[in-house]
Amino acid sequence: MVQEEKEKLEALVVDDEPIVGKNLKIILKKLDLNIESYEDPAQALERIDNKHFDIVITDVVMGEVDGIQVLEHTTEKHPAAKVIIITAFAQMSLARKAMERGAFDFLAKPFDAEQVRTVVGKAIDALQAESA
Amino acid sequence: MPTVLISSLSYSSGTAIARNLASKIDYEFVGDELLREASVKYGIEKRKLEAAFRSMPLLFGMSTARRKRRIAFAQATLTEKLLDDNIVYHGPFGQFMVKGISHVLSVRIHARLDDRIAERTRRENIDRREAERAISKEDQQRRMIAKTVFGKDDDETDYFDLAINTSQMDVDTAVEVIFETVNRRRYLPMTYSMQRMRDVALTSKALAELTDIDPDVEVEAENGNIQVRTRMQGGARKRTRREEEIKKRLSGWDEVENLEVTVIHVVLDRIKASLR
Repeated sequence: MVQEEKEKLEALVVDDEPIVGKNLKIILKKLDLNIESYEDPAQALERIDNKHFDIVITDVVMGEVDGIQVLEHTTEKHPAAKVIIITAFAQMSLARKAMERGAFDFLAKPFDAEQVRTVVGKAIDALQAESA
Repeated sequence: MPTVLISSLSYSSGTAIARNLASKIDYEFVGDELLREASVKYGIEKRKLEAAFRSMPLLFGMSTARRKRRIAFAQATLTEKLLDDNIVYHGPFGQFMVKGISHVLSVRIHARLDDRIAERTRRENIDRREAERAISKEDQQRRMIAKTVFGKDDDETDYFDLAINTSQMDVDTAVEVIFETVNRRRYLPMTYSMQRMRDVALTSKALAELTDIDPDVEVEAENGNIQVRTRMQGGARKRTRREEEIKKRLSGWDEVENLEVTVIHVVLDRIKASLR
């Protein structure tokens, strides 16, 4: 009997601090995702143009391209994708702006591993529910 | 779902709007019941809590310390409720008690003074002059309490997401406007706003616990870490005793992971300020 191989979900992490990308990869290992990590948000935007991602996790303040642009670009290219914002500059107005533009969730740094796994887990559940 | 806080000027249909909205979105309506709950929770008569929210701050009236403490009881009760329940709160000073949380929609209901006077005249069957006097007095009380307890102007628009003038809009339309606003994605709860709500609830609980020690105590909670700043006169031994008392009161709480207490010597603080 041939068992159908379940396709892994594709995730992209954008943060100009390399340590954050590395940590997120470790934290999300258990969730069985294909993860690509970028420190340069412009490169991340290019990658989003060329490949479908189910989940995008992005920082906000990253120089020329910010996380809101990553969010808008992702939702334009891949409307079903779940975009999670993680920022050290969390405040009410930014949180509302991100949600209004279609973010799936918004977290403040510093984050703990369990919190991130819970949020990404919810994003996976939502994607599976939508595709069912 | 988002939370809705409604603060209204008297006789501007605030209660009707809040009740109808709660019914439309199937939320619990919390008005005066809040003070009943706070009264049971903190073992204080409800009328004393009501007086803290409504009586004019006077030289020989309720002391500011007592007023702050009683309002802190109501604030702690409200913020604890907001952690779990879907609520439309209608009452004074919600905009100061729960601020900076993206899934909390803060609404001010107001109306032209003439319309409020006419409404009071009609409802209470009193003459216009009497109605005008009563409304002016209530407005003055509200502003003075806000200034005394929160150090803010109660009519400061920065604290509201939405202001509705019921001289220009009937109750049903006002409910519809709030309903449409609250359904926007920007007011959806998220991990960050839920954490902020827990922070505000813990801050409020600590304030209710500590305002008898110092009515001007400053508390800031973030992810289970609490910072307390209090000012006092007196020697090092007294300051150490206060620090120990604060630590004793808060350290057993489940929500507290770290507690930092700073006791500032008032005299030294003043000297430092004068040298700046």
